[in-house]
Amino acid sequence: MASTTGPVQAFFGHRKSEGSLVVSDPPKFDLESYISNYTGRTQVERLLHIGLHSPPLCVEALKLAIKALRQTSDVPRYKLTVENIRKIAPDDPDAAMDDEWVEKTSRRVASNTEKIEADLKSYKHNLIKESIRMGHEDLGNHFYASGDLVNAFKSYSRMRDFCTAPKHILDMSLQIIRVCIEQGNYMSVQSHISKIRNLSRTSEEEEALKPKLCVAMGLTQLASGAFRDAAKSFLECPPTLGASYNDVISSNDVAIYGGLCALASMERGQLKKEVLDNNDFRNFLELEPQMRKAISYFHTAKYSNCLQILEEYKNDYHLDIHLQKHVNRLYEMIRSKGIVQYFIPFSCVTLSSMAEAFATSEKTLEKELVGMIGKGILDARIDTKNRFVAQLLTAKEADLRTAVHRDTLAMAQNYERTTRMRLMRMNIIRAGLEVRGPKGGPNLPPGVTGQGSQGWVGHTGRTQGFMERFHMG
Amino acid sequence: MEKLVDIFLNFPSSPTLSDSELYKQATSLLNTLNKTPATQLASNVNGTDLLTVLNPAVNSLVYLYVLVARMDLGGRNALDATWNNVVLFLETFDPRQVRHAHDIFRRLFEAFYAHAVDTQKPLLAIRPVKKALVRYNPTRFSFMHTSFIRLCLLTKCYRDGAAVLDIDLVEFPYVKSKPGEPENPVGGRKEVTYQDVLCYFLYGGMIYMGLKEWRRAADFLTYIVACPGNACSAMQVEAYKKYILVGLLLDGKPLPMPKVTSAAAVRAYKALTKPYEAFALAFKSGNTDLFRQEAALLSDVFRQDGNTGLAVQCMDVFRRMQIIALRDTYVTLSVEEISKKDLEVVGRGGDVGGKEETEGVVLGMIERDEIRASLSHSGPDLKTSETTVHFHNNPLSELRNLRALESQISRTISLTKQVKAMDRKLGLSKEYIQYINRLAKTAGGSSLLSMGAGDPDAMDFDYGGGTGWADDEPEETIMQDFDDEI
Repeated sequence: MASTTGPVQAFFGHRKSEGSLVVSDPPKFDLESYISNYTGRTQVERLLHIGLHSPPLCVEALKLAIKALRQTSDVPRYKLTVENIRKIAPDDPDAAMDDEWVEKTSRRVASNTEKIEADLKSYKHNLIKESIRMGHEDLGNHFYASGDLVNAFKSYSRMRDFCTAPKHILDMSLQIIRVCIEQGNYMSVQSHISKIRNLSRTSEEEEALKPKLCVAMGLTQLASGAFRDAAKSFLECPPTLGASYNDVISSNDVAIYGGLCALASMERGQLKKEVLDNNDFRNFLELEPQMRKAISYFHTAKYSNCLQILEEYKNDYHLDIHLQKHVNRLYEMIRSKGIVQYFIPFSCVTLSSMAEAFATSEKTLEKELVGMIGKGILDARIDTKNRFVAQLLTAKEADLRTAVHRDTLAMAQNYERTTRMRLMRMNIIRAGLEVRGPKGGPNLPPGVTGQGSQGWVGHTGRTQGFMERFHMG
Repeated sequence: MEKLVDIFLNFPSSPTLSDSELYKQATSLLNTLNKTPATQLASNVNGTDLLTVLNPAVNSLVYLYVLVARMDLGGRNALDATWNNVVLFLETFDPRQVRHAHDIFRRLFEAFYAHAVDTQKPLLAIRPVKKALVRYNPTRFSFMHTSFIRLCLLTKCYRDGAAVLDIDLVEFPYVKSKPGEPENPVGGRKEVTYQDVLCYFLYGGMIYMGLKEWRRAADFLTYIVACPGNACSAMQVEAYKKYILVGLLLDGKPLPMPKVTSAAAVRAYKALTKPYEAFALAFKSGNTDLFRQEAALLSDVFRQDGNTGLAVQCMDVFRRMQIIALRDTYVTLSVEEISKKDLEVVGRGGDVGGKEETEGVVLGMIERDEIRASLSHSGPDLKTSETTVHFHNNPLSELRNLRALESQISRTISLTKQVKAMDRKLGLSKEYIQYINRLAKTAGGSSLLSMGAGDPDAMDFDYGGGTGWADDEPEETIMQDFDDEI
């Protein structure tokens, strides 16, 4: 490890300067057991992601990735990984490109592509729909395995015209969803989910499909930042998911994604009802006990404990491919929601006790509160002299009365103004005094630009020149 | 000549003539007057000045002719000589008579106005012109309106201007020419043009700006910004620039463009007022640095457009608006912290933006009732004392609100009367009847009758009758016919 410190630092320093996130502290999970939760391409993806964001784990992750990649036929990805590891640990045995393997695999991929395409052509010639469909599917699978996601997506999409049974459409859509999630193309994920939902199917199929659909939908909503909907989707996911979708997401992920989204978007009562008391979701939460703890802390209003747990696991979440972009926003939302919920029973709170409850200094808390009040999340005002936060009492009767008066006045004034304007307008039109452009000429006013410098001295000193300016025509 | 003087003095035969009798007499008198050569009118009778014989309040029509005759013969010098008579005439004339010689009156008025401006004594003209305007008919737009407001601007007599501007215009002289007719028929001319109207609104807005009555200023600018038409005038663009700035001064954000703004105008505004939009955006963002940058960037534009004064006031208001916004966040805040927020944009140098200056600003705001707050010092010693602003959230006194409501009600009632009168006028107009006829034809029969008899309340715009005038729709549908012709 010691020998690799220099290049590692250089590599991550460079990445940081490029604006990408670097999680310098080691996460809580054990890499091997974490990654063994996944199969297929997502395993490699996740390893690469960790390798590019976590200095302590990068070498190990990349080595594992290379090991996994050598089992596949994804040459471009292998090259990329090796390039990265070469920058980080040039002395590592894995850092050397295995040219022989590369060549062999590329050749195999190319010949396979040709073969499958030739097959497909002959199927097309024979006009047997089912064969054509399968031909496209084979081609798609092949492209997917060799890392050509764009072509895989195209091939899978071409299956569409040759689907004869609902089952076929279902298969096709699932394939496309898998590819699109990896590509980050959530628009088509969504459209294919709704396509599947529109299909008629038996309750058995329904049962088998539901977990995958819920998870895919949840990921889509998470990616678009709709945390409330994402939470709902994940919470609806039946525990039968198990390891069946491990080439996309593990059950642990469902617990974490669902838990965080719920924390960020739900009230305390809802958390209890929809998360903690949710039998299906409990199965997931048991996989991630810290998430369960955090939620129950939040529910019992022990915000600092909850935030502390979340803080401890922040690194883990930063190293997750789907969660990384949203972690900071989720945390911010959870925090400000905690502050709002904390504040509900009080009419005023001292800044110091509040800072204690949220384990921060008064200064940062004050800044945070000012931001929240400015955004209208928190209905309160700060007393900087006596150092406390006062709830804004909006439900006082006297206030309501004046509010009604004020609103009435505003409405009447608005009415008056609008009416006057309308009257003026009608009068002008009746009198034929509308603004008329010169016949045939352009309708823009003459000489609006570049004519304004004649003797304008401020607001008070206008001179004849200005006056005359308007008497043209 | 004596005979003529007798005729002159005998008109009107009594001060309480009915309109029709006055008309008869005036027509015959005008016949005589128009036949009488100007030299004769301008000369003296039996060694006495005709003007001293005549009383401008009683013999207004003759007096007017005599004045104009002298002016025609003598030019500027004559006007100088008769200045006092003209002033006397303008202040006391009888509008019922003068209306019969509108064109002559206009000639006199315009010569007087031009003379006052050219000889650098516009201030002297303010009072007579104002009186003449009010005597003539202040609710009907006339050639005097624009001239008078221009005079007020020239002389900075904003109060006099506002006194006239406060009177609502309910009528415009009818100038619609038939299609195909030349715009200005040879020999005569329209009493007013749309340029006069636009000018009036723009100058009116500027007078209210001078008085810092932003609400009224914004109203006037709205009239011009949303003036109907198929083209956009340069004045409208100037007005829109000011409209943006006045909106900022009024409530901290640019006013929305009126919904009825004509398409041509919207296009022109969009193309020509970009810097102002950017300025308003920066103002609204509440970001001091951004606003300061924008202000510095645009100072040339403002200078060119002559809006520097307004812009500087906007910068001044920016700080006050930000302080008002603090009210929503804080109960108490030390003055030092406010000054640390660095809200000063104008940049006059010196202690501006410092602790004491900020305290002064806050104090001024409290005095002007812009915020409800109090200041307290922590100690008697001025140097070490910390001043704290305590924002109150108890609302304004109810009495004030109620009083405002009451005056609002009376204004609304008078407005409703205007609306009814307008409605009646429109109902009788040729266009509306054509429209109803067309409807009747398409509906196949008796809708004209049913409109008239079936629902007497349908056209009754009582306040509270549920017809939402503040909304777009009701009058819009009635006006459809008109809008089509614009």
